[in-house]
Amino acid sequence: MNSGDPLVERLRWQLGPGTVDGPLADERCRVRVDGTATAARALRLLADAGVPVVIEGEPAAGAAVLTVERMNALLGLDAESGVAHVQAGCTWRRVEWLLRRRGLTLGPLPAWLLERTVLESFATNDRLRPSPRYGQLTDGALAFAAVLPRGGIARSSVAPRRSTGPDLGRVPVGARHRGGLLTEVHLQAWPAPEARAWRAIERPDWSSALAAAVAVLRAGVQPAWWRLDRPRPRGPVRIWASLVETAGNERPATRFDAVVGGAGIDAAEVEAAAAALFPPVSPDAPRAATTPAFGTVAWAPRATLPAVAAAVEGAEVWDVAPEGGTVYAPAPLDELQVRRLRDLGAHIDTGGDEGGDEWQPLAEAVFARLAPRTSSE
Amino acid sequence: MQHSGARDSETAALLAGLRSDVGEAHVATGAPDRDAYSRDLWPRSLLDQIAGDPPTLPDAVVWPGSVDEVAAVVRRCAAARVPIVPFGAGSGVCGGTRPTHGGIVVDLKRLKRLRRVDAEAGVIEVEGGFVGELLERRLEAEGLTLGHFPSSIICSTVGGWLAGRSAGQLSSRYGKIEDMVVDLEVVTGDGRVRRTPPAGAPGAGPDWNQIFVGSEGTLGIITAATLRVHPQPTARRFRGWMVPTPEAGFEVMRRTLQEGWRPSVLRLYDPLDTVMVGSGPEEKGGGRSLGRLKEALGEGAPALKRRATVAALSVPGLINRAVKALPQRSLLVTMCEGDEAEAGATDEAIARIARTVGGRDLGEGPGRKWYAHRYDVSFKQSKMYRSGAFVDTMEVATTWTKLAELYEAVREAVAPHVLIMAHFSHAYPGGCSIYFTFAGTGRTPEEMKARYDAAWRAGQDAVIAQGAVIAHHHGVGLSRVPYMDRVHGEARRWFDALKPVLDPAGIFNPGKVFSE
Ligand SMILES: Cc1cc2nc3c(=O)[nH]c(=O)nc-3n(C[C@H](O)[C@H](O)[C@H](O)COP(=O)(O)OP(=O)(O)OC[C@H]3O[C@@H](n4cnc5c(N)ncnc54)[C@H](O)[C@@H]3O)c2cc1C
Repeated sequence: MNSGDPLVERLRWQLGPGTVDGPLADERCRVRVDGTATAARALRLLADAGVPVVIEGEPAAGAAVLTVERMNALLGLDAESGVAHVQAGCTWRRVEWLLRRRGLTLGPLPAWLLERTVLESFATNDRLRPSPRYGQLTDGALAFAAVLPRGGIARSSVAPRRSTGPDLGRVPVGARHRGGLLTEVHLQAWPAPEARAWRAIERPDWSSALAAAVAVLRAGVQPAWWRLDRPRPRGPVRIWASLVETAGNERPATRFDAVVGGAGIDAAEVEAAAAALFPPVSPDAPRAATTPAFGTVAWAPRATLPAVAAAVEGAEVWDVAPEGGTVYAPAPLDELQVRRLRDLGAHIDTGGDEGGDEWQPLAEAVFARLAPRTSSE
Repeated sequence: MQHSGARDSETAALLAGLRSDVGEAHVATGAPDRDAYSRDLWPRSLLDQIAGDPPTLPDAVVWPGSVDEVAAVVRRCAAARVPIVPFGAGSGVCGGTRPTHGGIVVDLKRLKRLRRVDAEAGVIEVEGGFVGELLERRLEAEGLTLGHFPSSIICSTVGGWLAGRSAGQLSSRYGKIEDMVVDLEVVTGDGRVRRTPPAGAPGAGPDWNQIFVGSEGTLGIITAATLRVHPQPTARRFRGWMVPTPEAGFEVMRRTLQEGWRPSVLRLYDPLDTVMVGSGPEEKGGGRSLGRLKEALGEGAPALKRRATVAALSVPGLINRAVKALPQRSLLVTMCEGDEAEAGATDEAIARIARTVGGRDLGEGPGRKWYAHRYDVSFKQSKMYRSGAFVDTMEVATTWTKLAELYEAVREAVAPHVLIMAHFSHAYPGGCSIYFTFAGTGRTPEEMKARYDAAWRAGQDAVIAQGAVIAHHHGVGLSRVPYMDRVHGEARRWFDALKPVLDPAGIFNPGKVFSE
């Protein structure tokens, strides 16, 4: 059916049937792309026509909404290198499920990540998978493909490390699509572990719990997943850790016990918590919460991390490294609290530059240079 | 800068300004200084020199003594639109510090303060001009290590490492330099001193740390960095394995890392390199093939040996074919560290895996020998070059699945031009780098240049055709600029968007990394 809108017709012609389902002015209209090439064509056409593009977001007046739900294929799997080539519209559940069937894994995926797409995670640079063993999902890309805002296709070659200038693939990461639309990623996958040993221990306060966590890292143990929390105000702080046990490497659990053993939490309680945290990834498994209920995220250096954690009621600390860690507040913090934490040296992203973020204007200037030219230019 | 009329007086004004910024004693305009700062250790520069084709000289060399002085120099040069070439220790091997557009070379070695050591948090804040070896010594005294040990550690700086994405010999445990960064202090082209957000902090992109790391002086001057450090290991285990083929060696490295072990060294030599380094416990010559080649070709070598080597190198196709007939056995050197328990368990894990591929345990000898000679790299190249031979290295990377193919493809491609061998010394769960060493000759300097260029072109073209990465840790400099557009394609637009924002006057290291 001809829409009567020449731009829509051109999009349909170039992207294929069923890709644009109405006049662009209709806020229910979506431009559905299924890969890098179609995304590039769509962005180029829309840029040439001067139509702003919203990617996977709320419709805005005069803008076209582009969705990536069809971009959800596993494009390739190099099992020997453990490299999965995926389209960015895949959910983490889908990627992990496809990998598990081939004896591989991305590492532990908490419930709130499963329904997120690869694209969402990279575009917001979410740090929602604290894992010393496997790293953050958004740090583990060996290569990427992206479509720049004006429709050019950027593609990097696949390798674990390189020395070919700045890491340009990091420009769109965290940029909420302004640096371009990430369409494909090569992710590092791993042999699926044969067993996972859970441990949970308690320490009286944030200081001693964080010291224990760092001692674990210093002993060469890299938990597959971990977090610290304090269920009761001023109660003990718990360290929950999942330790991978492969046939060849049984040490993490025994080492963990040797370094911070004692006062363990009841095994059944740990298993139950673990099961809730890491539900099955099969496609027919029941869906859990799609986003973690976190209000504010703050990174604090080691010296003030205990104080920052203590200042936030119900805080959880993730991504602990000797140099610092990330504090998740269960609810959004108010301005005063944010200021207090900043005074303690915490870095908090509140989406603006009120934190004295001198990089914000530079980022804006870079994105402005990448944006499609307006007709007046 | 042009040297005529008004331009001369502008230059004089600029120099006067620079002298007031950093002090009279820290600005040099004499010929010896300008000559010394006109190149780095890119072997191609030596060939030019021999061919009587001298490099462009900078107009001056300045040595700022503080971050504020660096900022003042940048502001002054930006106002005058005069190029700045940041300079660490000049150990780069790609021409990154060549002042191709003249201008001011800014040597950062006076920025050598270790501002902060926080053993508890495992971080240091160190200035960009700190020389690597001196830094490790300072840290060792505190029971710490950065874990970054490039072969050039005695003659390279923290800023140079960061600017070029350097890799140390223990990278499989500690990572490359980009993996060690918490944050950076940089002077951008507007002369402002800025600090990047810490790695892992929440916030909108781009990831500024990973933009400045690898930027080779084109986006800003790295004046300081907060880097992760580690307690000194209390135990080390060394070992050598003779594996039947390079592929068997890949298998050991790959499986070790994918199982989650963190040895500090996994270093595999290809069959020719295995012969060159020798697998005995302690042999004359330092156990490094590059060193041995230079030794055989240098002026100190007996004339007969030198002539024989040069003669052999003049027929590389023949020699490379003969090398193919060598037994395929390859030496794998390992070092494991940590505490006694970790070092021991890692060593045993490697042994278990190595045995499954038919590896023969050579004991501690090869590992200890490598360790004792790990920095034995000769910098004295000119004598060898004058005898008509050249040597260079090319480090590339790919995934495990493509490693053998890439290795063969590069060897095939360069075989008509130079003698080539390789080792594999930076390994990751997903792949590995290949460090090729090649040597060639020519009857005239022009012929040497032609052969050298042909070898590089053939090698890099083969890497691109394989879809692999053209540089693992030496950077781009000038030598790889011709390949960058092909490698990055449209991703270059990101650089083109960053450059004018971070360097509005376009003065930082022009012509490097990407062509203008
Ligand atoms: C014998 C030998 C062995 C080597 N072994 C290794 C090795 O094992 N691993 C390895 O990675 N490399 C190695 N290299 C290469 C070289 O040492 C590295 O590239 C090193 O990082 C360069 O450091 P530098 O301080 O000498 O930098 P320079 O050569 O002075 O500069 C390199 C580049 O960085 C820029 N730059 C320098 N300092 C700054 C700064 N503070 N801010 C911004 N830009 C800056 C320069 O403009 C230039 O583009 C070796 C070189 C030689 C000669």
